[in-house]
Amino acid sequence: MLACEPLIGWRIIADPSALDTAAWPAGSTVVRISPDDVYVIGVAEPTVSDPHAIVTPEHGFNGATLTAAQVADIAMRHIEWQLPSSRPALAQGQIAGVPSKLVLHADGSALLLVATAAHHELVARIGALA
Amino acid sequence: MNEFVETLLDLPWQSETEPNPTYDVVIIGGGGHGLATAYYLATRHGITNVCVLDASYIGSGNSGRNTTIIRSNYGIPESVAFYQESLSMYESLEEETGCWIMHKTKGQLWMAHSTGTARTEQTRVLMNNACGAPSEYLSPAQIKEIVPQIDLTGGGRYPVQGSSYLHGGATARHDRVVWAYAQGALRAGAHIFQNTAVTGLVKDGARVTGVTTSKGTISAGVVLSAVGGHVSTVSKWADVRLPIRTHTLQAFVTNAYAQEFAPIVSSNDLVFYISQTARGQMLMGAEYDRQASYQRGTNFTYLQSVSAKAVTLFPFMAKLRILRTWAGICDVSTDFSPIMGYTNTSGFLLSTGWGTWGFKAIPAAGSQLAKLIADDKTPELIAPFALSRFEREVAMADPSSAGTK
Amino acid sequence: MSRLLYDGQPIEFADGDTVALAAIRNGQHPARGGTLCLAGDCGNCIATVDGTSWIRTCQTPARPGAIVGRHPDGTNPSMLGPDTMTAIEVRRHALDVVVVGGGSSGTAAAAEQRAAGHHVTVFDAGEGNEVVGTFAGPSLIVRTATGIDHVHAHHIVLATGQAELHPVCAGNMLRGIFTARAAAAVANAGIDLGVTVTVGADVLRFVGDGNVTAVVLQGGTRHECDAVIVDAGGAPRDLLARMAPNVPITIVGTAAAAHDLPPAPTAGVVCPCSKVSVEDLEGVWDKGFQELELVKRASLCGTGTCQGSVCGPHLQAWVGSRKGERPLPFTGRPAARQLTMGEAAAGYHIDTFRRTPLHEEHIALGAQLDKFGGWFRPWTYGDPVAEYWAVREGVSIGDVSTLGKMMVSGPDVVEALERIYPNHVHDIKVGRSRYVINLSERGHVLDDGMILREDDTRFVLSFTSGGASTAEMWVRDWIETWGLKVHILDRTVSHGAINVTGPLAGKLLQRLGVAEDAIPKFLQHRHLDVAGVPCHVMRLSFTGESSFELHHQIDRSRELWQALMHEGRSMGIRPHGLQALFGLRLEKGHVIVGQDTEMDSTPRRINMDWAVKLDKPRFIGRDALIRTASLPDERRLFGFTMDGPAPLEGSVIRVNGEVTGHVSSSWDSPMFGHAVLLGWQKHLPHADLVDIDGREARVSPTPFYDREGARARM
Ligand SMILES: Cc1cc2nc3c(=O)[nH]c(=O)nc-3n(C[C@H](O)[C@H](O)[C@H](O)COP(=O)(O)OP(=O)(O)OC[C@H]3O[C@@H](n4cnc5c(N)ncnc54)[C@H](O)[C@@H]3O)c2cc1C
Repeated sequence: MLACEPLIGWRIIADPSALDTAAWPAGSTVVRISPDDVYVIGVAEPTVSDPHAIVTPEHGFNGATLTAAQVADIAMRHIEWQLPSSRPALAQGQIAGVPSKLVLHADGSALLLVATAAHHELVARIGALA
Repeated sequence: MNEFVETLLDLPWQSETEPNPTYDVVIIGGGGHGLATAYYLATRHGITNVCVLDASYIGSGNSGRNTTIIRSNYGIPESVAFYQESLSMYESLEEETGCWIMHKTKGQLWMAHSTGTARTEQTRVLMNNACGAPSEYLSPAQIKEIVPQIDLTGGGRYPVQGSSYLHGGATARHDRVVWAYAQGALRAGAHIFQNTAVTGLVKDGARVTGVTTSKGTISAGVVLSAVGGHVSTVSKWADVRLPIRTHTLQAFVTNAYAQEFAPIVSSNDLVFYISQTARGQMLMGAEYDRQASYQRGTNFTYLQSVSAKAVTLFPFMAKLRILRTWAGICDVSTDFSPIMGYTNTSGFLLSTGWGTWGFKAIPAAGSQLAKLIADDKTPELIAPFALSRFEREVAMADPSSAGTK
Repeated sequence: MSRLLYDGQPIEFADGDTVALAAIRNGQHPARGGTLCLAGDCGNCIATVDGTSWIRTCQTPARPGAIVGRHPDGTNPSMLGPDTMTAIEVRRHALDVVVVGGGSSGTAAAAEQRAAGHHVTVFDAGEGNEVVGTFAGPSLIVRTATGIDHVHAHHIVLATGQAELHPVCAGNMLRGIFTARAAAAVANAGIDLGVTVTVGADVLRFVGDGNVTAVVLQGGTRHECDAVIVDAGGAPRDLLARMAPNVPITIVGTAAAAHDLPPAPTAGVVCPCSKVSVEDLEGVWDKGFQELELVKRASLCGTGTCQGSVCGPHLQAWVGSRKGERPLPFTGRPAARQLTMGEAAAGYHIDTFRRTPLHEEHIALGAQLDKFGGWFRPWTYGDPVAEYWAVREGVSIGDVSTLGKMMVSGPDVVEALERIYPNHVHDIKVGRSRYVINLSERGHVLDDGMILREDDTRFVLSFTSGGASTAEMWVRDWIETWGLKVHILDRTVSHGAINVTGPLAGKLLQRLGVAEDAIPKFLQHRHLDVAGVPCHVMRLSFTGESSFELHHQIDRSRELWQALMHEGRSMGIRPHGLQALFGLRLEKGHVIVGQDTEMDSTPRRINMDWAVKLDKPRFIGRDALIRTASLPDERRLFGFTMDGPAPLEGSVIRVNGEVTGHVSSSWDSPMFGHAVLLGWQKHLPHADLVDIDGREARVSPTPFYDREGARARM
């Protein structure tokens, strides 16, 4: 089964330029959800230069780490759209009908993100992993 | 000869091969609504100097593409009264026209799979009974008696909580309804021209006085637009702006099977509906495509979603083979009710806003519009559906009865 | 040799036989008669195989033990039978160039595409990859030995060749007629057809009684035989290209070749699937059906299981000969290699139900959970009246995690909110909040909720549970449209919320560590720790009692809930479900948007003009409200009271026997001992006494309970 555990991170909504120039600590996972929206795992309390930025803990996602082979398997069985071919990349869309995100790392592995409120559906639908 | 041909009515086309220069009434669109209006003008009001023009063949629009459900279980009194009149007229249409339209009263279930929609369906029953459309609210056990094939657990995810049941729910063969009206209109002396596209309106000042067509200009006492999904184009010629958007609606049938599925079954939560045709095919539809469009394309996602919904409630359907999918383009009004009657442009009338629900309305709308044209006075039954309701802020809002989400 | 069951009789078949070949090997016609193409093009070998009807047996490998039955003569097969729902595996492939058909033109096309640097995949039915249809979306649906493949191709090349023309003439439904390729396949399988005669398009009629015994050619020549092989040319198999006009498809080889139509038939069955004869075509023509589509619809020619593959060219020729011009073929629709509904449904999920962070708590408490707006929510914990009294007299908690929750921040935020909401926003002080409604451009109520001010340029907004996702799009779209500088964070699913309500609610918070003087006053909000959980505590009231919404990060929800339940035990705490909540709010006259409102409910119609400030220069819906303000308005929502039992929601309201509206909310008030209702009167004059369910109901001002609103401030 997919080990899809609650994640603790930060969510920052800010001017795109402030996010572009923000420095994230080494080892943090930075998920740029949209130009003005970033989700970061592995930082203490982030700061950005935009004084109006919303900087807040984000406890609403569950996540699962996937190997490259598991990503390929899930794509084949559960994703009705084409994953980006380049790495690293962020892919967002429905997986097995559940809105999800795939943070595709350079080494081929990935972090699967899904809203905690719907993660039970995703886990049940994906079932056993390759 | 096969029984379909044997029982076919005939179309006694007028001998004229070109339209006359002038008609009392020109109707744009040879769908059910245009033809029924011509039929009632000619047969009930003696107005036979009428001409119906269609860009293609008669019934080529939604009237020959729908899922043929006739029901009156709407949510507001004005609609229940109007659709119930239409449902009753359908019941005697074979007798009136002498044409076999394969009308069959089957009863319609409209099921709920949650507390919220159970309430909606109970509400529907109360309103329908109060306004003359006999209905009852059924328990799961009663539903099972009517459709024994149903999985009442809804695949574990959509347990059936109950259903409204409209006793008078019916179906009829769509083409034959179109042809029955065409036959009657032709017999009574009206003209119908196929492959004759209307390309514009002729105006005298602000008044519409005729149409231009691919076969020349025709003068008209009044012009009725009954063009289905193309209404925005035609009404623009008349400087009439409409609260209407055109959306694609798809449907599909399976191959034919023995007659084993008696009622019309709809689901409010799952938004889809099924019935079995006279030929034995299982006929299915669901909501219209979100994106506004003039395309009649079909897509796989639609087949997937409707099949998934059907199989969830009726597991036996998993092995039925899909024969054909198709689509029509629907004139969806903002309040999910039709728009009938005069507009602010004199000489120009509309029959539109039929969206995904206008087949059932063909007899009532045709007869009432004919009456309106003949008497120059809006009959009470359709007065609430005038275009001016949007100016007067009295919408006929009934989204939960449109069979769509 | 292995055996299968054919119409109840065991028959033997050879390795590599299809079901159709097995039948022919045993001297049977796989269906009941008609020309066989054995290429999947026609419907003349259709049967029921292992419970699935309408199977082209020429495409179905014979399997030991298979149960094959011909369809009943003259009627249709049953659709019932054992529910054998086998899971069908779906695989998706994103491919570059796909070539359909592995014959000579397909092979050539594949080589050409490869040479041009493309990655090419070839699907051939003979190799077990049957392309069932072309669509927008996944562009090819392919049936394989293991399931269904959804293929997303950049480009599709159709090299599907031609279907052979069937003979249309008298006697063409006899058994023993084969197309040239079918005859070759039969010979290849080592099956002897006896005396055969090969003929071209010049057949006049087939002779026989059940089985063909002779064929007569147009010149009058007659051949006695056991089987006739017809080699009459072909028509392109281009249905896949005609199915999906917007999908990039190139047709190559004979599938693309110009072709002549056959001569217009003069006798025989044109459409074997729907049993339509030339006589039938003449019948409909004579009745005035004189367009290809009308001939088709009236006679049903081309509407059967092969969807015109057999009859299409003949029908075109026949109509062409009458009209003097060659008509276009009719629209191709997904059909050729039909999917079952199970195959179509495979891999599809209808919807996703969300769970609040307190889902497990509700289950542990025995709640009756149901879906509301895509969420599982507690309807009741078993005793809605006890839940009600806990709120009115003691303390209760409710899970309101499903509320829409949003944070907005930025230099233009006040301007943006002033434009979005019809109420004033600029004068909301930091630490205070205000009830607001949302209007559409037409001035109709879309949603309601709260605005809470965090600081000068930062607000928290809430929306109804059902309206949350629409509201998010609404706010984003407008702010984007106006080009205002506002940051938006939707927190609906990342924050939980528990409503602590009842006269003892404040006491309970104190017990959980909130200082008495820190407790927010009505419509104030504050960030406080409750039971050690950081909460945004919002004091407002939907139930009518003193209420605190505790908004917090979802990973702390259960801990907070348990602490409240534990500490509240001595106060008689009970959680309440939606059923009690709906009654509580109804006593307060609060509308539920969507239940008590209709899609065209203006604030005036629901007596909420007070939430609209027309002195504001600009907000969504203002123009519409001003335009309609002077119109006569018959539609209005009223409060009613009547003796119990409360009528069903949806009951019709009558005045002088006429239906004037309906009950939108109804509740037997435990407090009052009679029913309280909201309902519509839509015709003037509005009456004070109305008839509901044959009983008398009286218009009543709302709120029914605590008109001064003192209890919420307690
Ligand atoms: C898939 C589907 C399922 C449906 N299911 C149901 C159902 O179960 N029950 C129900 O009640 N309703 C249903 N409907 C809706 C119903 O079919 C329509 O509301 C109804 O048929 C509309 O009839 P009409 O005469 O207004 O329009 P149409 O039948 O669309 O006729 C309009 C005609 O106008 C012609 N035309 C357009 N422009 C011009 C021009 N410029 N010049 C000349 N002619 C022109 C067209 O060629 C066409 O023939 C469904 C619709 C679809 C698409």
